[in-house]
Amino acid sequence: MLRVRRGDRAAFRDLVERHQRGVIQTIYRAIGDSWEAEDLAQRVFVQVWRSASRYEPTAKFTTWLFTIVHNVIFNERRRRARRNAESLDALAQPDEDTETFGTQFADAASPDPARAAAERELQARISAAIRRLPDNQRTAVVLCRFEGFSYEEIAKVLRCSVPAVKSLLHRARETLKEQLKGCY
Amino acid sequence: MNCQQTKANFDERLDNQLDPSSRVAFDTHVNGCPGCAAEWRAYSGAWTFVGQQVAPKPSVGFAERTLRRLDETMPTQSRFWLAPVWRWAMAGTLAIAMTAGGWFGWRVQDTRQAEVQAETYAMAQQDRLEDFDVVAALHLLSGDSP
Repeated sequence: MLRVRRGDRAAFRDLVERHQRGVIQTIYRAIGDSWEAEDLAQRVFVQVWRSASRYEPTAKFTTWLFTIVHNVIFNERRRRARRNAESLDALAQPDEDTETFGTQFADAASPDPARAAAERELQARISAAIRRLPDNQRTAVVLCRFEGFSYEEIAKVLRCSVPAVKSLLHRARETLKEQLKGCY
Repeated sequence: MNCQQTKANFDERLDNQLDPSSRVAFDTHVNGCPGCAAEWRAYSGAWTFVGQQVAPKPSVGFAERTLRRLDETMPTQSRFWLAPVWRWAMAGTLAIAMTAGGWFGWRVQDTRQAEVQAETYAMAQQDRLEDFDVVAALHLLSGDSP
């Protein structure tokens, strides 16, 4: 990151390659559209390049990066809500992209169509349940469950206290337990 | 550990935040209490299930496309003459040019000032001579010697 601060494009490319998976998947879990997730992820990395001079080496880079990711997701969801491009109900429903992606995954895992359909259905339910969570709860869940962040790191990303993170995670888990009842 | 304490520790147990002795106490209680065991299965099962969500991997060429987008959104950044080394060189040249210009301007001004001073002095001398001539003429007219 220090090389990126000096305007080193090769270092920036390395940085993108190292963190692209986490950034794209985190956005995908919030938005539910893989193309949109890549578009927003590019916006995140452009923002990283532009803000590189403001990066303090004392802060852990991934914490700083996912703060930007969280803000980009928040702005995108707010923009969508404002434009009414997608109603909250539509956002909660499994979209075409999720289904397509689920099909690809299931087909790769199993050639059995019935099993593939069941897998697709489960993936859609998990995605919908995660997307229905409030922004902060969803970010806390994704960072904790999929990115392996500690409570302290999540607290820095969300700019809140560690007890607040614990509370967010607890409420999110209770909600997920209710919404996914009977799936597992 | 009682039921209430066990339920309060569900999150810490899931996130591996319990110290070894508390973890043993937690597991011992859950294994011996059907109510807590059922709740724990539901709570941890949902969390495990959520972890099975699959998300897409980055598509091929994502990094290249990101760099291209960087150029599109910040076109000036790609111009070689705005690379850091060139920016420093240009800033240095500009500083030298401004210093030289200032020094030259100061010299010109100094020379011009000296010329004006010399001219003024010459004019004053001339005035004095003219004054002297008038005085001498008056003395001549009055018949006195100066």
